[in-house]
Amino acid sequence: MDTLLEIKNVTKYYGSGDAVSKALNGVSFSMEHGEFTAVMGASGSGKSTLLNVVATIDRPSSGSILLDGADISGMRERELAAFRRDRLGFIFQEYNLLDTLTVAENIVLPLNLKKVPVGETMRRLDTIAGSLGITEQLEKFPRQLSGGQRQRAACARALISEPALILADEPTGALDSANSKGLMQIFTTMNRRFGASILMVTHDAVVGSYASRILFLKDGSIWNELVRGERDRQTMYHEILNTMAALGGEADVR
Amino acid sequence: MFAKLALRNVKRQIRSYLIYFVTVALSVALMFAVNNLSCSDLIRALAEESSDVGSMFTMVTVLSSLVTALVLSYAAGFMLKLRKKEFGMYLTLGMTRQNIQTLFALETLILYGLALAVGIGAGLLIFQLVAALFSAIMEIPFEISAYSARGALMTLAVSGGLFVLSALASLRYLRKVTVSELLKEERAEKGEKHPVVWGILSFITLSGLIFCLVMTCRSLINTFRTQESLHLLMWLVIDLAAIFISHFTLSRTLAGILLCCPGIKNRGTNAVVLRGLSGKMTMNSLLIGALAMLMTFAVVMANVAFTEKIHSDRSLEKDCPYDIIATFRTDEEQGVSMEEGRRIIEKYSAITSEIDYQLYSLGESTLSDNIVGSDEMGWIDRYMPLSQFNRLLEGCGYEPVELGDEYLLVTTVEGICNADFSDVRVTLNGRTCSFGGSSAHYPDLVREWLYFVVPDEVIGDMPVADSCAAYTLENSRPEAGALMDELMYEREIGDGVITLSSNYRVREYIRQASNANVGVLIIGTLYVSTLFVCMALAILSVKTLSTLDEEKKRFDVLYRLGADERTRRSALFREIGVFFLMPFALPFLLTVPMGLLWGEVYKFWNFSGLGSQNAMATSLFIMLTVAAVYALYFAITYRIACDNVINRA
Repeated sequence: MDTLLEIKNVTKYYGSGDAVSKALNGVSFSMEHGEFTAVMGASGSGKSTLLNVVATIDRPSSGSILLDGADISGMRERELAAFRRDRLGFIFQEYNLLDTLTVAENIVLPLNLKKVPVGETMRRLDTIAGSLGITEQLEKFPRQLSGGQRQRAACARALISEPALILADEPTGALDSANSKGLMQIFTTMNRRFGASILMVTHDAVVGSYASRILFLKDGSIWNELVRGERDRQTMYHEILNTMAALGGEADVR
Repeated sequence: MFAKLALRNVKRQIRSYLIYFVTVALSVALMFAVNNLSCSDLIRALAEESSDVGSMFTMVTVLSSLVTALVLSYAAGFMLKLRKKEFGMYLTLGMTRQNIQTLFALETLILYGLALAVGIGAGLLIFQLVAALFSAIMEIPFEISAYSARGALMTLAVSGGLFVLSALASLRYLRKVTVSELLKEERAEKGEKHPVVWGILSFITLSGLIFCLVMTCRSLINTFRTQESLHLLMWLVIDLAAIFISHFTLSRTLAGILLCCPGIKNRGTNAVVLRGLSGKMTMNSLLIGALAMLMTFAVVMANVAFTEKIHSDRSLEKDCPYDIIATFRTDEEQGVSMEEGRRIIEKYSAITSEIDYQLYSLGESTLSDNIVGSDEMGWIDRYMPLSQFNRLLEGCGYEPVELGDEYLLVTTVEGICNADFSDVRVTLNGRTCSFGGSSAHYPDLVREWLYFVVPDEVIGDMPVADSCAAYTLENSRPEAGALMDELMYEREIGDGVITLSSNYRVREYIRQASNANVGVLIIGTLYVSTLFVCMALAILSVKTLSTLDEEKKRFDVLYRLGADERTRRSALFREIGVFFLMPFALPFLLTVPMGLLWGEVYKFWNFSGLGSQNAMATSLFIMLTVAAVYALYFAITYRIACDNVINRA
């Protein structure tokens, strides 16, 4: 596998003067194509900031971020928008589906922005909706769906443009344990069947245990790393709990 | 403490309140200008002479008060919606309802006070502009007009009263509303559920609207032929209803129809824009219908007012082609005799030329009997010799008429020309004349419904029925009021009722009276139209800005999905633009047919040199004025929306 994402010594400051706080402190790591990486840590450890700078929603104060060898930290606003549109897929805690659009319209929105022809758009919609089991829900509006169905629709929207990297910010945060489990199975399918590379931020040890690799952040730096290797998910889960205990943070246990 | 907090809140939210501020200030400015005008010496003097002027101003004041009340209540509702979550939070933190009411009342009072000050400041200027326009229409020299304390007090009383009423309604809401109602999210806007049904209804109502507009045009033309305006009024009322209904249905259909076309929907941000519009237009379909109706009414009224001005200017040349025309029927009581009249006229201006002419009659109605209703009107045949007729025409710039053994029917009523004289011959003084035509387009030289121009030889020793004289003065604009006073006399019209009458028509006097009425009509119409336009735009702006929170969420998602700033701005521009344009599209589109229609009317009135180009220019001028106000509100709304939705994304 070759390198997909390279984070090199990324630092992020917020505020100015006496009120400056350091959210990221020289973070460096890399991700291979097809890898499923989770980022865990206590509140305020810099997880969301890290995801935001990779998502190009926020700019790093220093350091560089390379995706497939291209440095995205120095791109202009318009290039960044095109980069997000063409290379990234997003899944958020609050789903971020547009209430006024039907599920189908929400899913194909990234393709519309990329000006993909209608025929190709519809073909991809059928495939992805079938794989995620939401074909029956396509003409409904998000408010007519359950939380789990909404998050599957959000996954479909993230997958449909075949992005290089899917970024997930607390994707199970608004779901109960059953739906969380279902969603993580979908993530696993996305990763294994569609070869999607996923970078996910989570508090939840169970959710983290589905990842192939886990980065632990503390005070804006990578404090530890767990790689699943040949370990099963239950073992991984206990490893996470132990690491979180050592880290001094509190992992959600569901 | 509350005053400080209220002041800080106003400062913090001044951009969101901009539309409220501009609208109230503009309403106050217009109200101040019109109230000052209605209290000015000139208008009061005109109102004493003509009850129409007084009632026109009363109508304008009542209408403007109603419109301002509507705008204020809408704007106050918008401000409440903007702040309701915050007020809910204050209540949960322990503030009392009385505290919240005091805070809100102080905030709106500060804003209203500022808007009142700015409005009166702008009103001072607008009043002088309106007075200058009125002077131009009246064709009198413009002088800086004095402000009226009564006008200012009226403005303060009406706008203050309306403000208190709308504030009381808001405070009542704050007293009754529950905390959970304040805190809960607004219901998401829904699109239309039955697009096909609404699509069919839209097609039917649009077809109906086109039919109604065509029928109105035909009825308008017919009105000029028959002088019967009942059908036209009926069609105008039906038109307004059709405009309301068609816009109501179209608002519920337009976005839905476009969403049914995958090629359109799946292009860029179209789905987001169309879904946003679908929800917004469905929720506001009644409002859009009402605004479209008001806009069309405003544009048509402004067109009518300007056309009336053109008609009045041109009619003057037809109604009184010479500076003064004297007409005396030999069988009627004489007022100021022609000799006495001449002496009075010369006191005001030297007479440069005088044409004396007569109408002759045998007291028979051989020809007139061919006109329907002649018996009731008691018309008799009156004849004018051709040489006199041509001499008079030449004096006012018309081509002379040529007649063989023919007679020409001359009338002031278009309908009389429709009478069939083709087989009617008349034998006078041993000479037989056949029908040589009829016309309602010659200037009014005598005060008769109709008369017949015949070859001079036909007259022979026929008795004189009317003695007339046409005077041209050295000063064509004498002191008309005083001159007319001297030329009038008291006449009993039965049952002891005495009225003022005159055998003289003074062109300058007619011009001044007509200009005053038309001036009041134009000012009143423009004022009401401007208010309608401002109100419509203010409501649309308020409606748009009150949903910015939801818009921000939608556009944040677009940002994250990779829509660049230009794409997002374009989407927002299209969404707000179409919502704003919906009630304006028809009035804009009506400019062309309305210009063509007035062109036909000018042709019908036989206004030489005035054609569809002039009519089109008038219509375009009105539409450009409306477009300028539209652009101002749209630009402010779009700018605020961009600041809140795009720039903070």
